[in-house]
Amino acid sequence: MKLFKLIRRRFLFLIPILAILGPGIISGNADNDAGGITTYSVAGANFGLTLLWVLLLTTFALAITQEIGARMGLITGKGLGALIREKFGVRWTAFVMACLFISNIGTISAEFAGVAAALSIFGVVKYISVPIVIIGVFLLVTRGNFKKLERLFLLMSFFYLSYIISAILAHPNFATDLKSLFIPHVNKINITYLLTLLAVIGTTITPWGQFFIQDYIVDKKLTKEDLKIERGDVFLGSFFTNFISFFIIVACASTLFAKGINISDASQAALALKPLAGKFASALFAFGFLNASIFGAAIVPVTTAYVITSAFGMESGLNYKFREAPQFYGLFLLLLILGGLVVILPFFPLITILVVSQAINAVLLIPIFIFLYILSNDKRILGEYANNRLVNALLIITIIGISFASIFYAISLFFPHLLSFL
Amino acid sequence: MLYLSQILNKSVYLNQKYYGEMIDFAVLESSPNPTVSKVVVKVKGKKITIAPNLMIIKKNGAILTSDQALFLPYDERDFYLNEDLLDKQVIDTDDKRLVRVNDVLLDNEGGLKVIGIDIGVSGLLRRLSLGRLIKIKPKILPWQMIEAFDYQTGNVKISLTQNKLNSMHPSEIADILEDLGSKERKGMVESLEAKTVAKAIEEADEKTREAILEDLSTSLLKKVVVKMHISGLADLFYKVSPMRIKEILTFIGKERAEKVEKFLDFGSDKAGGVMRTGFVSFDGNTTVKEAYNSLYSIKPKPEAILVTNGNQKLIGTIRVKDILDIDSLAQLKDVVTERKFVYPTADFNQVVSLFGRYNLRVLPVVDNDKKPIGVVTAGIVLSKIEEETKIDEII
Repeated sequence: MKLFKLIRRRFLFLIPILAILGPGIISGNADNDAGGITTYSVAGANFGLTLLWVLLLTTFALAITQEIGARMGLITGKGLGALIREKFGVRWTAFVMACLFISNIGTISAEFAGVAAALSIFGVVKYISVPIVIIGVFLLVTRGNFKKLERLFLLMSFFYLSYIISAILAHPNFATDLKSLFIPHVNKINITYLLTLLAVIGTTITPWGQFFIQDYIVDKKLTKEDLKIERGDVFLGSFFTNFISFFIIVACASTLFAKGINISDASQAALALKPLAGKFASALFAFGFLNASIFGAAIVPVTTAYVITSAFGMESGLNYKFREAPQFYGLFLLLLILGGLVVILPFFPLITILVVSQAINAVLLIPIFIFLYILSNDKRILGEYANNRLVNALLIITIIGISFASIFYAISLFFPHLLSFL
Repeated sequence: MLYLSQILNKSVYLNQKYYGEMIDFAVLESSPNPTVSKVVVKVKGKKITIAPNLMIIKKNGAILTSDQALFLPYDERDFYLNEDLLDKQVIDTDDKRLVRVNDVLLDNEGGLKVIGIDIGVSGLLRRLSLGRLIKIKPKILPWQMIEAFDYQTGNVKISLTQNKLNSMHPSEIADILEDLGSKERKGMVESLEAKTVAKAIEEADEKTREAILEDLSTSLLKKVVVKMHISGLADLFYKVSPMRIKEILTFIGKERAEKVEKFLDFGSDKAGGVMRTGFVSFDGNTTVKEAYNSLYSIKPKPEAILVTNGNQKLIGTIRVKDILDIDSLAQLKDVVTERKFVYPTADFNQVVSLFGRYNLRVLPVVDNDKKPIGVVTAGIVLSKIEEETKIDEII
C-alpha cells in the first residue's frame, strides 16, 4: 500500500504535464502526413543519406519557430492571424492569407494524392477514392466528434514505428547515418536535388503548422504559467517528428537507394517496409499512408478555414452551426474540393504533387516567417517575453537558409547550366 | 456618413498644397455617440494633433482651414480609432470571440461622431479597395452595444444585455436589428423585454421581421406575439413558415386568431388590412362622467372613443381631450364630434384623403351592419405612408 502511494506521488506530477502536452506533439506528428512520408521516402530513395544534414537543421528551425508560435499564443491569447491583422491591417492580412491559401491547397492536394496513392495499392482508382474521401472527411468533421477522432488518428500513427524497425532490420550502418546527419556531403547539385531539399524543409516546417500551433494553444486557454511545459512539448514534438523522418529516410536509403530504385509510385515507396513486413509491406504501407493522409485531409482544411475566416473577422470554428458560420464551412468545403480536384485532374502524377506541394510550402514560409520575426520582437505585444538574441539569430538563419535554397532552385529551374559550375 | 477607411491615411491640404496625412483620430466619450476630438496628422515624418474644427474632413481627404493651427498635445492615453479600435476582436460578455472591427462608421454632420462599427464583409472589401466592385450591404454594430474595451488584450467587448437598449425607442431598436447579423440579432432580441421586441418587430422592415419571428425560441415567441397587434401579425402571415404560423396562432388564442384571419381577407392596401382591432367604445346613453370614470382604468389611453347606439351600431367618435370640456352629465350620443367612418374594403388612399381633409385622429372601420370592428389611427397612416415612400438609404 505504502509502495503504491509512493508510486502514485511519484507520478502525480505527470498529470498536469499530460494535460498540457499535446499541441506540439500533434502539430509535429501531423507534419508526417502524406507529403511528409513521400518526401522523406523520395529523399532517401533518390539521394540516399545525402539530405540528412538538411533534416537536422530543419529540426532546430522547426523547434525554434514552433516555440515562438507557442509563446506568442500563450502570452497574447491570440492566434498568428489575429496578431497580423491587428498589427498590419487588412491588406497585409489578405496577402498572408493568400499565401496560406495557396500553400494549403498544395498541402491538401498532397493529402488527397496520398489517399489516391494508398488506395491504388488495393486497386481503387483515384476517380472513386478521392470523391468518397472528400465526402467522408466533410461529414466526419462537421457531424462527427472531431476531438475523439483526433486521438484515434494519433494512436494509429504508431504505424511510423514500423519504419524504425524496418530501418534497423535492413542493417544499415548507423555510424555513417549519424555522420551524414552532421556533415553535409553533396554528390551532385541538380534540379531534383534542390527540389527535394526544399520539399524536406517545406514538409517539416509548414505555414499551416505555424498557424496551427498558436491557435491550438489559444483555444486550450493556456497561460504564462504553462510556458515551461509547453516549451518542452514543442521541443519534444519537433524532435519526435524528425526522429521518425530520420528513420524513414534511412529505411528508404538502405532498401531502395541501395538497389537503385527511384520512387515513382506508392508501391515502390512501400518496398521500404519489406525488411519488417515482407510480402505484407504493401498492405502495411497502404494502411499507414492512408491513415496519415486522411488525418491530414481533415485537419489541414479545418485549420485553414478557421485561420482565414477568423483573420477576416467572420464567425469561425466547429462550435458554430452551418447557418451561423457559412463562410467557415463554405471555405472548408471549397478547400476540400479544390485539393481533391488537383489530384483528380489526369495530368499531375501523384508523387509529383506530393513533393512539389511541399517545396511550395517552403517558399511561402519566407513571408510568414518575416511577419513572425517582426511580431515576436514587438515589446508592445510580448513585453518581457519578446525574442532573445539567440532565438532571433536562429530565426534569421532559418529565413536566409530557406531563401537561399529557394533562389538556388529558381536558378536551376531557369538556368540549368549555371549550376554545373558549382 | 463616412467610414474611417475613407479618411484614414488620406491627404490633408493647406492653401491647396499638400500638408500631411491623417493617420489617426482620437475620440472623446460623449452621449449618445463619441465625438472625434483630435486628428493625428503625419507631417514630414512627425506626428502632430489638430483639433477637428479647424479641418473640413471629407471622403478621401481633408482641408486645413487655418495655418494658425492650434496643435493639441498627443496623449497616449487617448482612445484612438485606428490604433485601439480598427481590426480588433469583438467578443461577447462570455469572452466568446465573434467578429472583427472591419471599419468604423462616422457621422460628419456637425462634427465627426462615431456611429458604430462595421463588422461585415463590405467593410473588408472597402479596406481592400474592392468596395466598388462588389456591393454588399454593410453590417453595422451600433456604438450603443459596445460595453467596454479591454486595454490589456485590445479586445472590444460588446454587451447584448444592456440597459441602454431597453431605454431606446422601438424604432431605433428596429434600425439596429435591421443591420445586425443573425447571431447578434438573436442575442439582442433575447435580451430585450417582450413588449419592446413586439414593438420593434412592428417597426422593422419586412425581412428583419420575418427573420426575428423565425429565430425566436418558442417561449419568447409566445411572450412576443401576444404583445403584437393583430394587423402586425396579419402582415407576417404568409411570410413565415407554416409551422411557425401554427405556433403563433395557438399562442394568441382562438379569438385573436380568428381576427388575424379576418385581416388577411382584406389585404394591406385596404382599411381593413391596416386597422387596429383594439379600440374603446361606449354606449351612446353613457354620460360623460361615467365614460370619464371608466377611461380612468383603461391603459393605454385611446386618442378618441367610439360611441354606439343600442344596436351597437356606430354613431360617431369623440376625442378624449374634448370630453374634459363637456358638461359631465351630457350623454355621449349628443356630443359626438365626428361621424366619418369607412368600410374595411375602402382603399388605403381613400383613408389617407379622409384624414387629410377632415384632420382626423381616429377613423372607425365598420362592418356591413355599421358595427365598429376596428380603427385606423393617424399614427398607423403615417407609418404606412413612411413605409411606402421609404427609399433605401445607400451609404
